[in-house]
Amino acid sequence: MYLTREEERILDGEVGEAARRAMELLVKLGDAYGAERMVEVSSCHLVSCVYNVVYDSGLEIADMFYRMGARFTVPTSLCTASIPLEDAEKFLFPDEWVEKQLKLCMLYRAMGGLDNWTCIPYWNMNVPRYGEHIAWGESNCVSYANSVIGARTNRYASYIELCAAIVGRIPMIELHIPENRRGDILVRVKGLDISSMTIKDYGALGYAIGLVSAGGIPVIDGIPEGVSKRMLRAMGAAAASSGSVALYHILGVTPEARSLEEAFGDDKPEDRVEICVEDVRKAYRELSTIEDGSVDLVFLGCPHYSIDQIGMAAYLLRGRRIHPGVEVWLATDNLTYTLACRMGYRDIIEGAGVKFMVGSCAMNAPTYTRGFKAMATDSAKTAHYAPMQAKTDVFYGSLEECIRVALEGRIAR
Amino acid sequence: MSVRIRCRRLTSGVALGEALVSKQPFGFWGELDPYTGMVVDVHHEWYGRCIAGKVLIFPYGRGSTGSGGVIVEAYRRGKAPAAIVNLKTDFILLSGPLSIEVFYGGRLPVVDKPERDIFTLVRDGCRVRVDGDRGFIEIL
Repeated sequence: MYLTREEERILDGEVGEAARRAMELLVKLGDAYGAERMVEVSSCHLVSCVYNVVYDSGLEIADMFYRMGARFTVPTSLCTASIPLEDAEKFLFPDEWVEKQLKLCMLYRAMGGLDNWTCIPYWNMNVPRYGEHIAWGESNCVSYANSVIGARTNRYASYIELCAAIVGRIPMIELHIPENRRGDILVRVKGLDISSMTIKDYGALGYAIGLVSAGGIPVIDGIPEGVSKRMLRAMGAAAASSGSVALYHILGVTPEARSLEEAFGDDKPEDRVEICVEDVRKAYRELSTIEDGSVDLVFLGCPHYSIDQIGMAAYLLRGRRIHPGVEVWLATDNLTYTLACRMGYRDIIEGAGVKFMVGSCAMNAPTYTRGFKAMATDSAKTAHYAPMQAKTDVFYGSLEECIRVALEGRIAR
Repeated sequence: MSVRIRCRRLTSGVALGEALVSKQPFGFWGELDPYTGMVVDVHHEWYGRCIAGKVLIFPYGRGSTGSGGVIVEAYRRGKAPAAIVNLKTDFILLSGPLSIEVFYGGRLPVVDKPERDIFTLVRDGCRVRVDGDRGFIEIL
């Protein structure tokens, strides 16, 4: 692949060993996929800093880069950590996990990572602009940045995004190239009462969209122009879990799909499908493994709660107390947590017995070590992964339903 | 008589091993225990099998962001496959073998886009040589 003089200097080790290694990996990646050249990125979002996806080798590689004096050359946010960064001891996770994640935190902070540890960097801290090239990891982040904002990234992980953060470049492959961003399947949403749909319904709809898209780029028709960011966040996270959807378009809503022609380019859709009430019902059935009975963990905050959702939880929990047989975890990032403290939400929520899970979440933390039997969650993504990752049964409900479970200790029928 | 099938080369190195073949996609993260090399996904036909030292043949990766990291960890513990052959390899998966090359100085050859139907030509237990330098596999 073609390299600029600057890129050749980096590859020759003229700006240090860390950058040389990073460039070597990116050049090998570009060569493997026939990239013509590199492209500069304006930001990165790392998942290689999360212990439960990189294990001990991830610590070794981070430590190696740290010792070589690696520094990020572009703004780089860090994804949701494997342990809570405040009051970790309240969660009773194994000491070894805590130590290893804390070591990763230290190393990535030293390289210049934004010390916020969140899966919604796009909400307020690392917000790309339309058309910018970025190198991001974590499926909901990639989906949101690509689809809602129109920035350009593939799903990166396992040190590719780390290397990009060190040299500020990525090979020009797949979704970095405009022609590859066009839709290949038209998904018509039919017969749903869209105006009354909740976040929970958008999660189930996203799950259904992921199932029919199977790794392709869906163009969705039938979602109203006024749909909110938080609805799209829930929908995109669910579609990424069920169908690895890294990019979707919504006709008349997302920036690369103002019309059918723009969404598909010169190509006709290869496939057309309809999603109706029955498909969403089916998604609901697949997302819950239980419909009644007792629950011992309620998890809120996947993707991480933004301040409006924390305010909603505070409203529902004011003056109440959760059932003694249940633990309730609410996940958010450091910045939003600080805001929640200043606005009085933390006192209300913690007063009800809920634990804030700052900078972490139930799927990245070693929740399985706690031996919970049944979890309730308002996240389609967590519901999808919980049986495997947390080894629990799962009930998928709205925030209101989950709070009721928290108060009663069981699923109310 | 050995059969040689041309493929696209993705990572370098030459490896020889016993084939483990599945038409199901395989995602590594949550599906492989990197400490033992055992497949732990009950939904996969390789459930309970050990992939260490095998030539894995499957259509493509799936699911999580974590595939590459699991492959690196398995390699570090001596439990990685010898080579991987796909119809199409995504870079979430390829990032593992690439990292093994760049950070551990090892080799885990990966090739994809075989020119013939590997699922009819290769059976479980066949001895297969994967040449990631020249871009072919050889069924011995």
